[in-house]
Amino acid sequence: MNSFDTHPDDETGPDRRLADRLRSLAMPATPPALEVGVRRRIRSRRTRRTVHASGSVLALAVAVSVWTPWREAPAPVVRHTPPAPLAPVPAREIPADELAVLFAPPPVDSLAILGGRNEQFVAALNRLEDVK
Amino acid sequence: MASVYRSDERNPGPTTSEAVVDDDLLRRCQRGDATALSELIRRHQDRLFRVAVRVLRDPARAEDAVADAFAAVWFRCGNWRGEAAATWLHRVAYRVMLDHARARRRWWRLFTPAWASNEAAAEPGHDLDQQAYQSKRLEQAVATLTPEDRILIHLHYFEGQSLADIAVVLRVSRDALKMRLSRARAHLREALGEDDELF
Repeated sequence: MNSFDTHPDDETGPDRRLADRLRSLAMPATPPALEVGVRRRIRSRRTRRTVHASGSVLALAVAVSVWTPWREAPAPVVRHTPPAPLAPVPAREIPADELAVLFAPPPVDSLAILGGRNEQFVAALNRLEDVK
Repeated sequence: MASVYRSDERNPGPTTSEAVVDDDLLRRCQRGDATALSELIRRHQDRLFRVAVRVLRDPARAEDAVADAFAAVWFRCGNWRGEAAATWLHRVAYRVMLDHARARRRWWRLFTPAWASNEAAAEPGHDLDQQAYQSKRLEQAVATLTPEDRILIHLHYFEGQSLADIAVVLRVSRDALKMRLSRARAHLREALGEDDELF
């Protein structure tokens, strides 16, 4: 077997024979449209990357907009039911004698009572003066 | 269209000026220059296509693999860090080819019965002369190697690359490469049989 830095062509024996026989094998010619295939692959991979990136950004935007972590938790919705309308209470007929009592003037004049009390206080004070 | 690759067409490896041109082209690819990629394709497609045919054993799949390889070079050229451009480019391409070969093996095993994967063995007949018969047998023997060993055998014996150069491209140690080559040759000898005068 040949040494590490030499070519098989520089050798003789099995290495040389193997090289010669391998080169005698038919080898198809390079296809002329290879570069077209390369360009098509580059284009399609770019398109795929763009679609993936757009899809990822869109999905992220949708997720964030649904989640909305910057907002506070929404307050629980309380439904206020309007109070039921009050049923009209039928007015009670007041008897005439009660009406007379209700609207009659008070039985005692309050100023007359106060005046009487004052006179009694004065009389009492006078009596106390006399006792002294 | 099949053509016989003559030994005088062998690429002895990049010279210094060719290496400088490759470096410059790859640097332009890094800047997004599509014409540089076209030039790289033109310079390396023949060699890579031959390796791909040897590894994948199907010109159509080889064309796919080489196109994928150049697309990978275009997208990964930002990772190139100043080593010889041809070495880096070929390493990327071989990796893509091996991926194709492995994918093929997986699907092939799943959907093909064992008896169908064995090609008809070459038999000496009236329509095959002795040399064609030997070539056919060698082709079948090479096909039994692993894709990694097929690359190694092709680069060393067909393209005439030294083991030192191959070790750099494949990023394996000298000892590991020598061992692999020795194992591949032993496998070929076994596949060809004792009656073959090759070994």
